[in-house]
Amino acid sequence: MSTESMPGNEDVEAAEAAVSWELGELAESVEAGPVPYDRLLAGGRRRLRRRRLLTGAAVAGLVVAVGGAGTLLGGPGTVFGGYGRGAGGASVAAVPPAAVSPGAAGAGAPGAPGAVGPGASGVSGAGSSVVTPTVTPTASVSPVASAVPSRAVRDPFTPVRVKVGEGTAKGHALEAWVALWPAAPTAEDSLRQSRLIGEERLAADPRLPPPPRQDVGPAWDPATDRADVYLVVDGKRQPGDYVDPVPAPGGVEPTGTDAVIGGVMLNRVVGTAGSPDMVVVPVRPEVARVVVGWKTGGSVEAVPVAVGDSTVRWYAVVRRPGSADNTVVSYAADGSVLRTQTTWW
Amino acid sequence: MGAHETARDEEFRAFTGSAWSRLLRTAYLLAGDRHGAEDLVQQALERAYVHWNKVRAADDPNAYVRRILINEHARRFRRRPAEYLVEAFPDRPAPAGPDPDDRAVLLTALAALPPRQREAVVLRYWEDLSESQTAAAMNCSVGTVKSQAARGLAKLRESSSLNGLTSIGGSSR
Repeated sequence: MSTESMPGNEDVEAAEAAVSWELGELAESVEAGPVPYDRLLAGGRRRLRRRRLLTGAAVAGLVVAVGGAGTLLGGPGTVFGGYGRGAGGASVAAVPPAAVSPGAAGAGAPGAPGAVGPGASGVSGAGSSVVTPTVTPTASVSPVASAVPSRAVRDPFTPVRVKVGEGTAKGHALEAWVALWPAAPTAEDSLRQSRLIGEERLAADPRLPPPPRQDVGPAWDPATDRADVYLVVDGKRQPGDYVDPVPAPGGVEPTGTDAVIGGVMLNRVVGTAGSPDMVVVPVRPEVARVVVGWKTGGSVEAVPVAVGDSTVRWYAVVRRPGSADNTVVSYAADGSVLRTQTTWW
Repeated sequence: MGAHETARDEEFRAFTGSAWSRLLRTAYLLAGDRHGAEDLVQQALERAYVHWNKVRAADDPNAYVRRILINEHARRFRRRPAEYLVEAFPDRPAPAGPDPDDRAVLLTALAALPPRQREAVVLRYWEDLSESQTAAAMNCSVGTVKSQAARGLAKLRESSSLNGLTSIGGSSR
């Protein structure tokens, strides 16, 4: 193809045909595999429940607000100008699903230095890598199922960093980390938070675009924390992290039969897209331990780790190469089985 | 689970079974890797499940879900900076000379396109949609589709890694 001269229609048509053909080749190279019906249905149902819950909460909040306003306006000693502007200081407001403490802004790094030892990791089966959850010295983090610390420590500009698992792959020391950025109470704070996250990511991967300057985007949600899941290999943070929303404490979370939050965070260094080196999975707090049974034999046990005051727990395992369709059993603290899943990884 | 939910599940299963592979391949071209594609399709289908009544009532349910997929893709790029997923540990030396894998070349060139251009290129030249169909899927005007697709195509042509692309197409077809 020559790009020296202005392309004519024939050139454009040829280019269109070539791109069309190449895209077809590329797309057809993807083996669709079996449809994960159960995963899709579970996810759809979870979203549906959440939508209904949110709708119900909004209606209930409206009813409370209207009812309260009616009481204030109609009752004895009526206070005019409700909804927070009453001269007497009376105010009526519907409480949002998740109240985020604005006072957390600028509160600095949460907690005093302290390291938490391994929760209760275990390994069995040949070749399994040890998975040991630990916590950064700068983060005040309690072990699994810890008590929720004070809301005052929630600072949207200071993430809580926790190593949720580690192991080795082909001689490389792998560590899976989660940096939890507490929900930003305002759009401006969200933008500032996005810049800070972007700066960290840019430092790890200079090819990334610079952090946002103006556009906050529609993702800002005061009821949602952001979890940046990244891989550290041989002491160096790697490109290819994942930043995903997780419910902030008090936010709407999956309920019912979906005892485990779906989805996995995948990181790879020497692996490939379909065969990652490390798998990082968010789970609900009632999951006390997880046993991954490898299809090829053996198993590895992981203990979900708390990150700050988030209700989401995380575990990580080093994937066993060549073993797919593995079994993951989630156990509650009393030893009862919460869920058994078959993984695609 | 009520009868209504059961019927929804059954219809959803049937639809998913027929649409899965196509959606996954489109998502693969948009996301650039298998995991990202599966994630994208899953998110789109979960949303379709929530709005199933609208999906089943649509003239073309496939087009409706495809639009959800495109919206989800666009939302991700608004939500966070682009990610560059790598197939190998970056401390490996880069291969000398042109990459022998044309698919990787094209995937890299696609990934370098801005999201809207990528969507336009994929919908026009892989999904083989008309400009108006693409506009509907991208929720934009036909003019925008024309410009985005043209720019995307031009960038693909300009890509040095795709120097052989047109010659392949031009000579063989």
